[in-house]
Amino acid sequence: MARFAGGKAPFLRQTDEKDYGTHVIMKDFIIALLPVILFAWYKNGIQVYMDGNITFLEMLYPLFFIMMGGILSSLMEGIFFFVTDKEHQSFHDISQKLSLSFAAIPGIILALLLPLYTPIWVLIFAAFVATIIGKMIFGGFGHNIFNPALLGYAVVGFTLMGVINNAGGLFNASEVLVDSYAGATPLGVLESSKQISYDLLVKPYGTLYDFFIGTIPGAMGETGALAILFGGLYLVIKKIIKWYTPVVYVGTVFVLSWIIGALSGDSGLWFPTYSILSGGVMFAAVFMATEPVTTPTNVIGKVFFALFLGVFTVLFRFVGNLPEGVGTSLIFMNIFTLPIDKFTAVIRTKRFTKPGGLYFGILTGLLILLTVYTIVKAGNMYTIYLPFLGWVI
Amino acid sequence: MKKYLKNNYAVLTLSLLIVLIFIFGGMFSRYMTNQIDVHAEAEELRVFNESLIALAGMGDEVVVFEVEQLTKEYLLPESKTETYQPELLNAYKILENDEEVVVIYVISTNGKFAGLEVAYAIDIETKTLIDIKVMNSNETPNYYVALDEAFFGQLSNKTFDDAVFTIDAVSGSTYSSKAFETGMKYARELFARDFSFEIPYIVYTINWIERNYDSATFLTKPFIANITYGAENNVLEAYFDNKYNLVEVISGVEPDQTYKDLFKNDFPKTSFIDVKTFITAYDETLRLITIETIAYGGKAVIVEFELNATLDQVVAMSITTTQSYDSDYNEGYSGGAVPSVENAYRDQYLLDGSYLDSISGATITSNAMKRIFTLMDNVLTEWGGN
Repeated sequence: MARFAGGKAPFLRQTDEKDYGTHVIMKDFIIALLPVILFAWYKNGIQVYMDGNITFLEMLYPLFFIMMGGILSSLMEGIFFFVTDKEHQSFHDISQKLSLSFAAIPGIILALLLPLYTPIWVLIFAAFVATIIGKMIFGGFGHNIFNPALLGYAVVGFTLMGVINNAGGLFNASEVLVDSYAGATPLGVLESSKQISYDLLVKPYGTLYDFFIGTIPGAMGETGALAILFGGLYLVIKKIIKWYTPVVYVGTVFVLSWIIGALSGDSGLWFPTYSILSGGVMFAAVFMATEPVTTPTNVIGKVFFALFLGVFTVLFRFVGNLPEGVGTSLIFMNIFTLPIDKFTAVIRTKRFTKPGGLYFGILTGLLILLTVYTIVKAGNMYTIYLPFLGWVI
Repeated sequence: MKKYLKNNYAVLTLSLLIVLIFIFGGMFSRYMTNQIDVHAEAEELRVFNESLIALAGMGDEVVVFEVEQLTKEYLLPESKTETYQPELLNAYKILENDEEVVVIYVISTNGKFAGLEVAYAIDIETKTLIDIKVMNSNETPNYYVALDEAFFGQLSNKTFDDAVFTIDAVSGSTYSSKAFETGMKYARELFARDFSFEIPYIVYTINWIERNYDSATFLTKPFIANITYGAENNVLEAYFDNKYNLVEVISGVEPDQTYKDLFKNDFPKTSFIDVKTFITAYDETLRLITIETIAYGGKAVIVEFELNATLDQVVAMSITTTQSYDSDYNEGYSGGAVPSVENAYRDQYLLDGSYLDSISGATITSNAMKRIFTLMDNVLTEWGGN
């Protein structure tokens, strides 16, 4: 049963029941994040320590960093509550509000999105952007337009990535020793080479199995696809998220990548698999594209949202300046959550009669146009096959 | 103040926590960043140590061996009189199961240029130079490349008990060759000091060297030398070939191979006679005598002389040469192309038997011609009237 109604009244109120309500949802969210957090710690801390490449103290840093993300966003929200509510300024009041606001979650997700060697002051800045600007200014939990963690990540990504790279970037102490990585992530190689080649994109990092497990370079929480799947499975079983949102999103990226690969002369399934296992696609699919506040609430809306998200992810990956397209596309799609929700709610109720059919046609048409544009603009790898489209667009 | 604190303790506490995270978390993240360099250095050291163990071919641990320089001067490669001090850059011991098995000295010597840094790995038990590894070189690549596998092969498994502790230089890369030899010798001196090793020392003296002018034998035995050697001061007189190998004992007891190697090594260093110029052919019927010497770039100049019937005068000569002087490359040279220098010497010699002064910019070729004529004149003097 849906926790957030998108249909017609009357609605059945369930939040008073023991096993329902936002606190349960957020608790389950944290439980689902646990495998990801543990894998991030294992990959960037424990394993590297076992390799003998870092000290015990360094081994603790990934966990410390993720914890700091959660603590910082809670502290900032607490201060915001204190400043904005003159009536309730005691510790008790603030902590009660924090427990209802699930303040730690954006910070934890934010820390998982950032590279291991992000300086703490950058994390503080990112947590400020995420919590205060991305969440509290809009009215707090349930009112934000953008995914708070993603907003913090995006602002830092566009402004302070140089600082992060100077501080060490995202390669852990074991990864920097691997010559074949040559200081680049799998997506970084695609961005710089613009070539679809297994030997170039996958082989230096092992096999696609390594991509699936997550033992490849990347931000703290984004590489562990298997751990993310465990978390996603838990959320689906607990009915916190709908299975089709991540499936449609990942499927869109997969199919589009396969088409792009095929047009470039390599129709193997390795490239679409590489595409969904690189960068933050899996993490975003499970933990951000399903976020109840900043994504559509009805079924059709979720599907359209995921479809557009997938197309934009591929588009930004191939035409953007940054190798990763997930964050940008999600922020971008957050803007359209409300219209999509409205349009699709009409489609859902009116079916294909006017104006439902019109809305459906507009959304589908936009999607098709965007898909074609994405395929054509996906680089100069295959324009020999589509010279006329390359010329037109 | 109290009231302010009471009213604002919550926000102050939260802010203080953020400041604490900023300070201590910042220290932690700064520590993480600093550790990158620490790990990079450790990794570099690990790779370096592994390369030392690979060089030694044994052992499982590398420790720094704290030793001081040893004062010992060696001849500069390009000089017969000027000396320099090789520099001990680093020393390491390779341990195997905590036992010292190999010592490695990293020594800087002079080749064509200063700064040929080479690691010499020495087996402590067998007192053998196991192998070497070039760590840094400023040598001219075109010349350095001439040092081939055969050359470096001389520097592996070379026992320190060898009294004649030398290696054969590679033609065209003589200076670099000497740099390796000097480093090898200096490494042995260091090893002798640090591990109480006694360097084999043999007493001998080359009393004199003369040229053999006997036309029946001078091709195979061009030199006669008188040498005193050994603890019992054995006096040896023997023939040597043009590679300075002892080929026949004239009088005295034939020495063992160690002495022979030593003679061979020191023969060209003596100044009794010119040992770089040889008679390489003699046709008694036609009275043709061929003399060869090593000139510029290690290349030979060969002159065939035709003598008169009384064997006391040259009547004609032909020259074979591959010298490379020209006005573009030899500063100060303004003459014609090869073999104009050789021809000028020939013409003057045939004219009145005298030698031209050295021609500027082609000094080595000039000296080579003079050496050939000197030997020819000596032959004529020895044979004249016979």
